[in-house]
Amino acid sequence: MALYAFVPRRENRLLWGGALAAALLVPAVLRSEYVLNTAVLAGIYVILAASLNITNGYTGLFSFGHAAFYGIGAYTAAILATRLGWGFALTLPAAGVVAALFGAALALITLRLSGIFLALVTIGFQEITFLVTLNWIALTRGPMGIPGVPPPALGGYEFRGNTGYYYLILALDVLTLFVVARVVTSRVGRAFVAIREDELAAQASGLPTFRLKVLAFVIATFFAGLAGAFFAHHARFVSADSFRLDETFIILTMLIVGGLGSFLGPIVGAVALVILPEVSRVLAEYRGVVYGLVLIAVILFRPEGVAGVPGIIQPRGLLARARPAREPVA
Amino acid sequence: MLLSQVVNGLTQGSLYALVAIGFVIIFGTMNLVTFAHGEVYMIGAFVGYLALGVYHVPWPMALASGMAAAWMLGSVIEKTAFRPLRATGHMPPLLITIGLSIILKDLAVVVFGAENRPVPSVYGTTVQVAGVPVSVLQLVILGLAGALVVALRVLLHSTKIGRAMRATAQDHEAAYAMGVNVNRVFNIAFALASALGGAAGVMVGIYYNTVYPAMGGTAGLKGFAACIFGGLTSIPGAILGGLIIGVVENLTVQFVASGYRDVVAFAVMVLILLLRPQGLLGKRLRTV
Amino acid sequence: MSLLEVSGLSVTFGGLAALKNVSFSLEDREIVGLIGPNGAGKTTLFNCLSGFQAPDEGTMRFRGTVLERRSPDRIAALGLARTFQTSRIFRRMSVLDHVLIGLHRHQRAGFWAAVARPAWVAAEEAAARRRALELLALFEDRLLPRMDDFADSLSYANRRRLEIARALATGPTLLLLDEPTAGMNPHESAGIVRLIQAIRDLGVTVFLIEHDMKVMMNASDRIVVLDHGEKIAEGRPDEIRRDENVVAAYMGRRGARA
Repeated sequence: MALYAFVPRRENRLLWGGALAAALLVPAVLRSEYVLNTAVLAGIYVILAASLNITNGYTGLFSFGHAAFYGIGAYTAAILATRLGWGFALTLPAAGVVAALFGAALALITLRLSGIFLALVTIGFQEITFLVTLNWIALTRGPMGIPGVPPPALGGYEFRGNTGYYYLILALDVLTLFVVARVVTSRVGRAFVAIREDELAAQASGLPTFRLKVLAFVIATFFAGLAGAFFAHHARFVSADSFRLDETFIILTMLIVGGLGSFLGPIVGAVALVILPEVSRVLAEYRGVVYGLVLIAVILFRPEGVAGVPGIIQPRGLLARARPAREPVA
Repeated sequence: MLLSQVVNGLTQGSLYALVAIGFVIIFGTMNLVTFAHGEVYMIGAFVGYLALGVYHVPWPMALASGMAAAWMLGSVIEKTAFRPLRATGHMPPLLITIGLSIILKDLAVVVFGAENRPVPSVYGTTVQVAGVPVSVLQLVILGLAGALVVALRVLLHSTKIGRAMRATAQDHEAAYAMGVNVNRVFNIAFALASALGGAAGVMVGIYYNTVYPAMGGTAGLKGFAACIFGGLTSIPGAILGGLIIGVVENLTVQFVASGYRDVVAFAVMVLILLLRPQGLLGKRLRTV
Repeated sequence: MSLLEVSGLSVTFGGLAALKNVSFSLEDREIVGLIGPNGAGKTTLFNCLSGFQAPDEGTMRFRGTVLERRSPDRIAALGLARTFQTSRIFRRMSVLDHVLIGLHRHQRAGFWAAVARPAWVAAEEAAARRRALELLALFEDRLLPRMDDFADSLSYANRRRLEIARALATGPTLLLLDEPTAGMNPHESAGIVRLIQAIRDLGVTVFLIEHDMKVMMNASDRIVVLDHGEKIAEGRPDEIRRDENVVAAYMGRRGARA
């Protein structure tokens, strides 16, 4: 079976159960704090890449604003935790909901655009969000950021230490990937792919494509918000600088290297690109160069990445041309 | 006070316009978008800084070396990243330029460090023009930007290569059929656009007395915003867009708050995309 | 009330009239052909009917419901389905999934149902799958054995069949087919004719653009003829075959010469 078709289903639940069991055993086997910290970072990026995959991979929308929703989630959690004393059990869903509300608003306003125009509008939103966050000092403390976010606590138990963080992010990963798997193997997931493949034919077949694209956006931004909440309680300090276009590019790179439009793609991409710079000191120092080179190599030699659906990035192979702006149906 | 802010805005805006014209040239000729333009601008700025601040050459030479470096970098980028993938649509080259922008910025940080590098002052004096205090440097920048635009127009309309570029922009297959070396035209277009970006970078470095690796990011995006004004295919539109953004930014700093300066460009871009994606001056352009 | 009433339909592209004051009706359970030389406006007419092109003038009523200014998916929901001249399939979706997409509107499972998977979701999917297999079976053994294959692995002819299957899945009462036999040999074309007749017998009206005259004459109950955007003739196949205006249109723009 092709890697890109590999989704958790009833038939292969033993395999995925085994993978989960292995993941649960990681802290017991690899006792290094450093490794665990890396694993936590990978866990965050798995959520970010998997959620971006819903819009950019499955539905074929060019969203370049993902880091903004990550940041909105992080700031929501930080503000609620430090100002209202809310615990993680509340800040986590709140962060997701607030990010999703912004995602819905953006989607409703902008999704009649497509292609490069959608990309530019989402970048514009990304930058505006950054600038507003930086300047709305009353809400966000501006460039000073929000320090003192407490570590995540659930039911009285405080998750401190890398082992605790690891299990917590693992739980969030399982939640995210569970929802993603359920969505992509459903009627809704089918509709997303149809929109990506040919939106006009999808409309002609009765699909309410605008509504579906907004739904894709809402799902993706909700989980980006969740990742943001975890980030806030893990790093204990939130600042606007962490959520800029650079960050979106990193998430996108992970997704493309791992492969767009498949279940495994974002997992592979996030884990691989978080681990890669840690392999050697040199690589760590040149992290940006490494990421850029890997992205370029993938696009040049294997655009579907490790486990992605072939042909998403090169829609018509070597004979593709940009379409002129005329009536949509020839 | 208001008028001097307008002058500030026009100066800044003329530099945005140069970056924006670069985008228009690339998109108009090759129908491709590059996210690495800001970083080419930044590299040009750093070369200018090295020439002026480290090797102490006269500023016109610094400008020329910045432009030359940007030209060469642009030519290499086109040959290695765009040419092999040109036929595959707009997405693969776009993603490659994202990779390149990440690489270039990181290299600049590793080589130069992330902090600001000081660029020596040039022309510190101020004069009065129609009662408005204007620095000589501003006049020089405006003059240079204007000269570059005029030179560009002469190139595009009165030289063989310029005509080839315009023919290719209209219809690259027809141009090819008429014997135009389309590969060469694409390469020159990209290099030329990059050189304009490099010029803007050097002048920004001189104007603000500082260069730093992250300067390309925002400048590139603002250049994009400016060229959206003209719908991605109009050079006058890009110029107008750049100037308007520059002026509105400075007025915002004066009358609203300095922190929100950068929001102007992005707000303008988003509004135009939502209300009139073909820009205010562009025709129905080719969708990417 | 007719199934479809079109009156005074006009579309102009930058000075060029693609459709000029076109009027006709379609009734239940008939096969109507639409012919005309290249550029006559046939696909433009289909685009207007299916919501991809806004007419400049005129109205279209589908069982009394106005079609103008409706989005394509709403028009499909009303019961008007179409195929495209350039086969628009979902390249990286399986054959079966294509038909399931056509059935999308007949299912209910949304995001929450997808995540929670209550029992009725599985039942709904199973029912949809059964219906999809029924539809694929209409194409003999062309599509069924390939039901799990990606659509871009199909031959050109099978892709056109798949488009028809997908359109049928939406449950239309009017089906617009744009050159369904393009690229097929006579044997395959005859199969399509039989299929179209079977569709008509199931209660669906078929409005058919075809360049293959044999197919057109054999399959159609009536034919509408367009030339330069205007309707120049309408009638039974044998009438159309003898119509002077039709012959002139096909012989050349300068008119027929003896």
